[in-house]
Amino acid sequence: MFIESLMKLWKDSGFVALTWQSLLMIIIACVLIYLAVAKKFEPLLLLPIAFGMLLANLPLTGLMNEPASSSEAGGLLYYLYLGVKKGIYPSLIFLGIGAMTDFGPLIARPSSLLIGAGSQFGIAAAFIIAILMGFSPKEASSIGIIGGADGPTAIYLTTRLAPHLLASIAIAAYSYMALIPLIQPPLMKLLTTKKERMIQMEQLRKISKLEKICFPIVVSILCILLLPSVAPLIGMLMLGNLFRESGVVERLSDTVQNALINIVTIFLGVTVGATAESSEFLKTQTLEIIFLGLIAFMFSTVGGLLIGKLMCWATKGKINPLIGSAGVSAVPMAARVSQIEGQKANPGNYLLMHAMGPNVAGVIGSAVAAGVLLSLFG
Amino acid sequence: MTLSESLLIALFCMAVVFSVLGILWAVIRLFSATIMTIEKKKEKSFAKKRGTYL
Repeated sequence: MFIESLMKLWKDSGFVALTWQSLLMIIIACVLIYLAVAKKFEPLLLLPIAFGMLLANLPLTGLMNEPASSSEAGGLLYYLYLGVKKGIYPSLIFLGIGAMTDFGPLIARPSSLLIGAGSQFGIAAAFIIAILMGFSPKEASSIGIIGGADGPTAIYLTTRLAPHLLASIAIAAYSYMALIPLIQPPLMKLLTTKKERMIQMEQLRKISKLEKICFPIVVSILCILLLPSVAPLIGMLMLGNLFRESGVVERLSDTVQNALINIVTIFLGVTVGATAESSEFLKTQTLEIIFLGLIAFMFSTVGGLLIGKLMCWATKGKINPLIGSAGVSAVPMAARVSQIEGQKANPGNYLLMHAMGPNVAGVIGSAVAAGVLLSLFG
Repeated sequence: MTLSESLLIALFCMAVVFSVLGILWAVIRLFSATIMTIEKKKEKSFAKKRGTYL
């Protein structure tokens, strides 16, 4: 009887149900965990995503199972995933991002918005190439949005248009965001001259508190009236920013930029990773998405740089085109890359605050682009 | 979807993004200019009052 019990225990264990595909996914999850911990590749999201992937591919856990009947409970991650499915988590993350973001450099130089717009070029380019590769318009839109370099926006759009691609797109988006210091500099050197990279920009004017308070209200009203589908993302982003700038709700501002965003990041990351089951992830499509994600990032950088060059020409050399690459909305990584490359050309050059304008403009730009794609294909 | 359709959609998407952000640029310049004018007037009247008391 003892042996029978042992045999039953063994038959019910995950070892028996383990397939080579699950094993491969477990190895991939471990590699991603290594990248997050040892190489610090966007660890705040990549670590929970990788662990979610690990949990989902350990067999027989039922973590992502729907309830079999009304009297039975579903898996833990099934319930947590509802926040992703309903678009709640990305919007709440934007709430936290808004509370952490200083839009001062953008208000001081509103022309940065044009760089933010140009940096969405990668979305368009990746969309076209994805269609040529045989993806449907909804899938192509979800893949293209990787070019916005904005994780929550990519997740928000993908859950609505192509939820079966969520894991691949999220992993590609966050991995490439971590690789911005490698992807952008060669393009920056290719598209700018040494003379342009050495341009020192005038200090930005001081922004009054009233301007900073009016900004989120005006942006919300305008963007949402023009494009109602961006309301969840832009609305939450601007609400968070209003919490920060009003100065009268310190507790709320503190909560959204700390406790709330951390909790939501955990739930979002783990459940997005848990969608990476071997049957969905181990396809040639995943490699195609990874390739297209790189194309999207590169074209977004090129688009921003070209607008930067145009602004440099239009202002007769007052704008350093390097800030154009900061239009991809990976805040503040892309702005830091502009700073580093600017200092390589001219050690006395401080481009960080100038690059923050396009950087935060890119967040608005990618949300608007997502809104357009959602209107067209949602 | 054909290549030409996808090109049109991509162009449309970029056009809307540029238009929305372009309008935002104009509105921000407008409200910044308005606020700066109001604040300058306030500072002038405050400086006048101070001058009167001194």
